[in-house]
Amino acid sequence: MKSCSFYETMILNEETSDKLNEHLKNCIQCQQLQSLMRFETTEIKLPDAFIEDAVKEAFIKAEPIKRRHDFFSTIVFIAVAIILVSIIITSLMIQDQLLKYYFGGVSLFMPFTVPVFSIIRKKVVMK
Amino acid sequence: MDNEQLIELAKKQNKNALSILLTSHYEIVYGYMLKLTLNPEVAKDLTQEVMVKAIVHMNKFKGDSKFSTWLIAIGTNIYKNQLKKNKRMVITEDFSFLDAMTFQHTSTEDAYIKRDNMKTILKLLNEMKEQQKIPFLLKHYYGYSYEEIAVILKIPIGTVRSRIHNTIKKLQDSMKGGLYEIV
Repeated sequence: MKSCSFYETMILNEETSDKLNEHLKNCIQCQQLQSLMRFETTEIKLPDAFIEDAVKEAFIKAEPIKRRHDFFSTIVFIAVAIILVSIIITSLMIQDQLLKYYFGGVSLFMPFTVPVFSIIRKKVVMK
Repeated sequence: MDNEQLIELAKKQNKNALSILLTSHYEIVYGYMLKLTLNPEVAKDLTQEVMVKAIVHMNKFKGDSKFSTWLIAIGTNIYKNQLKKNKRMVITEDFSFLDAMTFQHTSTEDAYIKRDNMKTILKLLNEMKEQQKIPFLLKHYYGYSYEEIAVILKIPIGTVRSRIHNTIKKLQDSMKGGLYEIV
């Protein structure tokens, strides 16, 4: 018997039309294929107590993993922040040196460094 | 409270909401793992891993798919990883779980036939490669669209379509001579 591929073609194209229903009425092969391929199952019923226990256990198991996960993401965040800040500072310093070289002594860091140095100096002098 | 509200609360680390969500989806995940592994004990272990992963990564759930789809995707990854490790996958097929399975809109006699068909199909699927087995299971047992399967498996829709097509062809070939006796 030559096999009919009408149903197969229709489901592969995700088509469910009147044409298919009409075809299914007349074609035994496609009816058989349909009953073989479609399983409208309800999942296996597990006892409620079992599921509740399993979920509780999952929470207990997840706790240390989550803590470790949070710890590592904090570490990664801090590391990325440090790298970014050092990249920015280095590039500013390079820019600063270039400015100093080309414009003679004008420092970008002066507004920040002068007060800091003066505080340090005062403290050292006071001692 | 509906699923969406529960998901929103769960994403804000509400343990109760997440617990309700996981409890209501446990059987779906377990059923899926069971069909993949054909072994209740291994399926239970893998389902537990899915639950743990879902708890840890709940804040990564974007909400652009159903929660069950997200869990199924996690389950698929865990199953694939287990296969790679190939440690716990040396398992014996145990079809006793099929007896506990009920079928919708089906008489007792039809359910018996369907159970028998399902056993045959699952047995044949188990002999196939994962890339053929998983899309077929998702399509024919869970009714996912090709688009959803493509998202779950992270492959193009065309690939999903061709894999399912090949699986059906292989199943038909495997059952040649037996196909029409089974039904």
